[in-house]
This record gives sequence, structure tokens and C-alpha cells, in this order.
Amino acid sequence: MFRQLVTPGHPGPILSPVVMKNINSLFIYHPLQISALIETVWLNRNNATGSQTSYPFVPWSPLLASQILNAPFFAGYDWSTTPPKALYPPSPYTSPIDQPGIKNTWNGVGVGSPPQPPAGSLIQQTNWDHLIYAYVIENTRIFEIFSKVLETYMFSEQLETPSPASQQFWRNVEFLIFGDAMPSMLWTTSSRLRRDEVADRLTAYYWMFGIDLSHAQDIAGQHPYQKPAAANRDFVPTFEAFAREVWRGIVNAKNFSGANDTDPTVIATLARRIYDMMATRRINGNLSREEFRAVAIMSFIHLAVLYDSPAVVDLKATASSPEMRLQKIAERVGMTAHPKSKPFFDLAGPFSILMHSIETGTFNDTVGAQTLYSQIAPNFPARNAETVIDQYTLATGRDLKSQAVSVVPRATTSRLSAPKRQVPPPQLAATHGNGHAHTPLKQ
Amino acid sequence: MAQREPNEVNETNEIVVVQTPDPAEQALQQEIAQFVGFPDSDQKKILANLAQLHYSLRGPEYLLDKGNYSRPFPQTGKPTQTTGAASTGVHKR
Repeated sequence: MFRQLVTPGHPGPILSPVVMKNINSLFIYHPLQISALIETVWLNRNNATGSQTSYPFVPWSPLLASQILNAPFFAGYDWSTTPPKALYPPSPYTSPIDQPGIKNTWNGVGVGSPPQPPAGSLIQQTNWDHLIYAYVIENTRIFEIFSKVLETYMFSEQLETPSPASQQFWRNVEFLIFGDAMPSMLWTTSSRLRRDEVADRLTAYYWMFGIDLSHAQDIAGQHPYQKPAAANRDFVPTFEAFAREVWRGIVNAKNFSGANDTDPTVIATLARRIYDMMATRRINGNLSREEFRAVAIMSFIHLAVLYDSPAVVDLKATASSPEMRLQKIAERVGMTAHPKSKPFFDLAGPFSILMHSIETGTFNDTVGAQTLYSQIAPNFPARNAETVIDQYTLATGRDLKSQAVSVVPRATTSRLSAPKRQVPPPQLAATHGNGHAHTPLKQ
Repeated sequence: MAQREPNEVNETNEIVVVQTPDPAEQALQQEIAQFVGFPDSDQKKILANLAQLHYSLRGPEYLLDKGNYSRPFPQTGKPTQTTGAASTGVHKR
């Protein structure tokens, strides 16, 4: 969710500083500003209506959220001048209302009763990642590592004292992710009934994908969780069969000779199977808030390792890639990241897009299924599917590029039975009159 | 406004990357399309919808500069001394 919030709409080669400015600003917002951002992103969602799986929950009013987003938040006053000067965040800084993901959002003031956005409003839809994104990112153990770092900061001086920017980042991590969120907020999913958020996430993963985290055994002791009986336990085998068929399509689309064993009907059938699994769990917006929160949390800490952010710099974990930064942070607190973190980070975004695409029902027929492997420009669905297949194979070790081999017993004709030989009836041993067998005399 | 040349340096001394369609690439795609077909109107509509979806889910990963860590190539125009297995053998001993 935060990934999309900070990403400008017009990608270009010189936008790195802009993106970093957006992320750095996000990390130092007041928790209330971040809360208003979260509510606004949900409010502007693209699937509030129109489907049986739309999300019905009501967030804060835009009248309330936009006031917070526009309000001046600053650290205090510099009293050395008269009148005192408000201490705003240092430049470069992106104010919450200017974050690209919610730009031109409606402030709730409009015409009519009830008020509607004015004509010509440039309000734009928001969207966020699929739950699979949170699952894949959490498999890197980033959540446990950040949790341990926060704990180390709180209870010891084992690590260097963080900079002001880093302190504000960890404040937000503590209160927004590990704290008791505001009951009025949409993304608050914990309560007295379900206190343990980690356990709730593990349950949601099992519910949707029928699988646990790779390190579930390590954390299940501290976070006992429930496995719903009606879970999508067939997800992984179905997805792998789907991905294998798509890969056959990609291979054959690039070949101009030889046999073409691509079968769009099978791809469409398997896509429909996954579509039905997901839709069944999502009826009437079920699990939508849980997914939203899981994705938001993972994206917040994922952003922190995407570049040499203040938190990374203060932990002396600067590196050239997210997985190396995470590993260095983990080492600072005596932990280790998942050794397959690299493919996990590379898989998360494309897998999210693929799952979203499947859930639109686009691939449920042969015409749509063909777009998954067609190499005719624009072939971005095929490129995305190829990335997922590559990284999934690297991350799990299960080769989706080899054809599945199944042992099928050969059909044979029934054997003719051998002709029966006439066996002479056994001769009864000669017996004495007393019933004992005759014993030949020794010579 | 004048058309910029590819990789032209603008007033603020930044390289302006202008992507122009490569005629060779276009010709190759048309060649390939003869074998596998052009997307029909249904597929074009599907692709347009999928493009919207991809766009709405884009993250900042591809925007964050990862090139600052690369080792530079030797500067061209200067005589460079090559040794060992990489020697091209053009240098006189």
C-alpha cells in the first residue's frame, strides 16, 4: 500500500531523488498523519463497489482525513526569534497531501446533499498489493528482524543512538505496527478477541493459500494460531500447475519450429480454479481489512530497506540491495535473514500483480489466457508471468520450467491364463489297519 | 517546441533520454507477428485493462537508482594497459 502511495505517476530516469524524498517524508510523519493517509487510501479504493467481493467497510470521512493531511504538523518553536518560528521538517519534504498515491483527493466539501465530489474533480483511484505480497515479504523474516531491532533500541544501548530521522521512523514502527491501533481506524484488526496480530496474519495466509511461513515453526510457539478448516489447501499445487502451463506457452511462443504443446484451455481452467478459491474466501469483502493491514505493514518496512534509508544508515547496514541491507540489519541484532531473501524481494511485486490479474477473471477463458504468454508487444503480462516463474523457482526450489511428470500405469490387455495341466490325484499312502503309515524297513 | 535528440543534454546539464521507436525492432515485431498473429480487438481490450492494473500496482523499486554501486569502465580515448589473459596483444613489447 505504501509502495503505491509514494510512487510518482510518471516514471523516468531522474526520479530517484523524488521517490526517496517521498519515502523519507513518509517515515517522519506524525502517526496521526499516517493514519489519515491510510484511511484516505482505503476511501479512494477502486473496488468499493461493483462486485460481490468488493470491500464494504467505511473509513474516516474525507472531511476529517483531509483536515489532518492539510494541517501543519511541526516539532515545536524556535524561541530565539520574535515571534517564535515553527520548526517544520527540513527540506526536501513531501507533505502528506502531496504524496502521489492520493494526489487530488477530495476534501469532503461538495455540492448537494449528501455532498458529492465536484464536477471536474481529479480524484484518482487507489489500489494496493495482494496478500501474497505480504506473505512473500514476511518470508524474508523482515518483520521479526525489525521487531528485534526495535526491542534492542528500547531496552539497551547495544546499538548506536539513532539520528532524529531514524528515531521518528522507529516511533512510527512502534506505534503503527506494534502498538494498539485506534479502534476507529479501518486497518485495526486486533482486539481483545484476537490480540496477537502475527498469529492473525499466519491464519490469513493459511486461509488464502493453505501454507505457512517458512519460519512458522520458529514463531508458532510465541504466536499460536488457528488453521481454518475451509482453507485453500489446493492453492500451491494448482498455482504450480498453472505456472507450468504458462511457461510452456512462453517457450512455444518464442519457438517457431517443433511441436507446440501450449494449451490455453488448461491455463484458463487452472486460472478459473485459483479465481474461485480466492473469490470464495473474499465474498462480501471478507478478509479485506486483514489483507490491507498485512500489506500496509510489510510495505512500510519493505520501503525502509529498498534504499539506504536513515534507519539503514544508522544501523550501519548500507548495501547495494534490499536483501543485503536486511541481512546486515539482522546481523546487528544476532539474527539472520532468509537465505532466499533476494528472490523473495524480487517475487513479491510481480506475484501480487499476477494474483490481482487472476482475480479479475481475465484469464478464465482462452482469449485472456493467451495474453499470459503472447510475445507480441505489448507483452507485459507475459514478462510479468515469466518473472514470477523465475523467482518462484529460485525461492522455493521447485522447478516450474520442467514439465510435470506423472506415473501412469500402462493399459494392457488381460493375460491369457496358462493351460492347466492335468495333475494326477495324489496316491494315498499305504496304511496299516491301525491307521499308522507304513514305514519301510531299513536294509 | 523543438524535438529533442536522443540523449541530448538539456539546460540543467541533465541527459534527456528520449525513447524513439527503433525501426528495426518494429520490423522484427511485424515479422514475428506473421507467425503468432496480432492481438485482436478482444485481446487489445484485455491488455488495456491489464495495463491499468499493472500501473495501479507499480512500486518504487524500479525508480530507485541502483547504478551508483557499479564499477566504472576504463575511460575511452586514453591508452590503457592490459595485462594477463585479458590482453588483446595489440601493445608492443
